[in-house]
Amino acid sequence: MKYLKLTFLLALAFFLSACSFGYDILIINDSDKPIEVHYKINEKGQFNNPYAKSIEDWNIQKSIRKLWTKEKSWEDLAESEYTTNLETRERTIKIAPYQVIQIESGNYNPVSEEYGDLTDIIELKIKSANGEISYQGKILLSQFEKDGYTFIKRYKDELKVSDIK
Amino acid sequence: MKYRKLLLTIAVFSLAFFCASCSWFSRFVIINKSGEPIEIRLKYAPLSGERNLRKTNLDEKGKIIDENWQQLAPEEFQDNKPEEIVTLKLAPNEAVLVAEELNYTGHNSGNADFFKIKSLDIKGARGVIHLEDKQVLMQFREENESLYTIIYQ
Repeated sequence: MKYLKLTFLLALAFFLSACSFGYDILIINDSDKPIEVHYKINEKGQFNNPYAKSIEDWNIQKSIRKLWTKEKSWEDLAESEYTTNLETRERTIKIAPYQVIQIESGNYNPVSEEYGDLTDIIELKIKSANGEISYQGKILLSQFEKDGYTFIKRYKDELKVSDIK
Repeated sequence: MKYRKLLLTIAVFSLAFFCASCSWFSRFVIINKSGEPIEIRLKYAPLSGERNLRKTNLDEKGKIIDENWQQLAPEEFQDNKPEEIVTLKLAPNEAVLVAEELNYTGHNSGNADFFKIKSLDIKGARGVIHLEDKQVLMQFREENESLYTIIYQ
């Protein structure tokens, strides 16, 4: 009986650990102008170091997976490119044209966590000279494209023929 | 002379047929899949003309029921004409058509300035969406060439 309990507990632990996935939240500036990303995290959350990649030679619409298969690795974003206010739990990042920023990464356990609760980000605003996107609350991640466990918000402000799918 | 007239008629008919077969309307639709009512606020471009707001519901798979599109009755939305602001409430599992564009070829061609909705706010139990300027059009997801959606869920 004792062994049965132990086996059950081990099996449960294995099951839960096997069901945990790493997730990433990316913002892509697919425009030729810089954009500003402003976000706020909840009280239990912590800021990740933002990482950046250039997307110049990629056709994002064809496959976002290229982000991961490309040999080029993520680089730390220069400190001059973002500001963090720990008191208000807000961060502002400037994203250069055709740059991808990873603003959050973590673990997601689909068994115990609701999809909308996944991120610590509770507010997100993306601004450029050509418009604004802003989300507040649990609606936030549902407005991202999902590729596996990568959540992507792509900021594009001109309709370009070169982007053909 | 008679032959020329016939040729001209055929040319005119062919042109009309060609134009008719090449045009389509793209519908821009907001869908409420949140299980709670939502409030939508749209700011249209100045002199954007008569509102053509239509509503339908979703089937059990969450798909739009195309046969049920119905014009919104005047009491179903508030239209602040001088400011071109329209507000309306959308029940769960309903969809509202907020704009229609002729021959829109997608987010990959042309210019976004033509789009007549200049800002969009959606409020509901799951949070707030606010879109402004060109991002209103850009955030409608292309389902196919005649349907673009924003899903609140």
